Amino acid sequence: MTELWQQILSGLGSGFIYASLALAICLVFQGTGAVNFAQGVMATASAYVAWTLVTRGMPFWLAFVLALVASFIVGALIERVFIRPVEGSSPLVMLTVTVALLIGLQAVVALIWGDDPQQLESPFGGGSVEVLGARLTAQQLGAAAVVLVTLLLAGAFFRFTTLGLRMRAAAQNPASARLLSIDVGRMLALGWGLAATVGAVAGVIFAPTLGVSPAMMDSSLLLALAAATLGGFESRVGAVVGGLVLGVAANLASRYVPGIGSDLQLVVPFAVIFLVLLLRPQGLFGRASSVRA
Amino acid sequence: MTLLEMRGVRASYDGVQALHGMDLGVAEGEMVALLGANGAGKTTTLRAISGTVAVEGAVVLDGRDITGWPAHRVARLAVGHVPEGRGTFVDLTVEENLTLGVLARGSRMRGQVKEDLAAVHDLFPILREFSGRQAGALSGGQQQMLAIARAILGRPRLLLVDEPSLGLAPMVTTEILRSLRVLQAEWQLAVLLAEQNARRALAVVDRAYVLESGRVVAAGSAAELRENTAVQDAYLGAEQTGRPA
Repeated sequence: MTELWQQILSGLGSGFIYASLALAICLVFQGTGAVNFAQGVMATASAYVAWTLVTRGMPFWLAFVLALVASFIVGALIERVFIRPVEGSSPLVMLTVTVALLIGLQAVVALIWGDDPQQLESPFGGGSVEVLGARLTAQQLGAAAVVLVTLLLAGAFFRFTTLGLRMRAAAQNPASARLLSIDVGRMLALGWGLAATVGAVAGVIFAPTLGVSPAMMDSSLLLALAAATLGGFESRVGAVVGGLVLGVAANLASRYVPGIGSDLQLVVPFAVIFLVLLLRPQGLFGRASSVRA
Repeated sequence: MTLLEMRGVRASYDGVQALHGMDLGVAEGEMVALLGANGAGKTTTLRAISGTVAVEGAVVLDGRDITGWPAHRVARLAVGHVPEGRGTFVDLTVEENLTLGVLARGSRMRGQVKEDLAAVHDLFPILREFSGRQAGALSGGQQQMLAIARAILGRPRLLLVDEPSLGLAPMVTTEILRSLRVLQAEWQLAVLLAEQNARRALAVVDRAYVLESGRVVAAGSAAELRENTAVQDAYLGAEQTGRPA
């Protein structure tokens, strides 16, 4: 029983990575109708920025904040430069652009920082904590807490601030939003910036566990896409819940399903994507009417 | 005093011209109808004013040439637009929809939000009752009321209203047109109303333009147009013979 509990908790831990990436993907999708395949590598770049600053002697948390700010700016810039010209295009065009972004950014990351994996020291120290009989490292617990706070802040931002309301309006009905003097273009850029920031939180805070390398977010991106599919691309809450569920599911499958070791863990997101598309294409939290044609 | 003036405005969609030189004017605080059949250019005229379609010619608001301005900047000049299809934010609550209207107003009217909200709720009590409900769950008539309420909460000086009667029962239409008239008087609005149902529109407006193929073919006071035999034959007879207007 303790073993199962242990597996669930550590699954939740990685679930927070998928949840934040999924939320980022979902924010971008709601605004621009693009599934951003580059969301993972954008988070990777943020982790590299933090790693660079820390190795130059900067305290972790200052580097963390600076990496977030940089990510916000770069995210908004990417929207302005690469997405704006194709705004409102077909899903195929959007797909091509974000895949091109993925490949391009991966090359840029490798060009600047090289291919060798780097290590980022955990800001939470090397201790461990016992949670109801299961043992978690301070890093696992601390990273999960930081992401949880980020997700709650993002939720509160959209729910309670007028800027959040404007962004939701612009995403949902841009034509009508413009008539209410909302600068939709600016809202979309903000949305990309915010998505990049949410992804960056996961990238930087989990870097000590994942290791900093150009491919550090690859499998997380896959799981995040599955999470967004599971929760529904139109639902922010759904994306987060989907991420946590998949974290636990992937972990339990690799432990208890014979034949699926940690190498085959990625079977789980594929199975989830396949099943959801088959049984409930709008996702658990999506509405049938909001599925884009 | 003239609030809005259009001179020789042309507009087209995908190469098909919808407006062929529109000339019209709306004075401050006046209620004016655009009449005409489907495809006459009523919707495009409103869109040319609010900046949601590209135009040539001149659109002048309060002495300022706003031709070619993006929609969100035109909206900041206190132009409200209740669009075709009502523009409801279906996943937001009724209250959030109204808040978006309030956020659209300039800083000069910020102090008056509470009174204005109360006035809107008095005019459309259903919006108070359904305040926390998702706007997409409202009926067509209720969404039309919401759209009008959202637009006027932006405190426009000019309100553009596109076919409020579309898809609504006659009684609801009458109620909505009457509330527009009330708003126009109490909020000192100029209203430009696009409406296929000429008879109902002429019952509430001061003046009207009759459009055909993207230009004005007749204009006059509501009383004059009601008496005009050509207009009667073309637009007012429609309802009596049961022909689609």
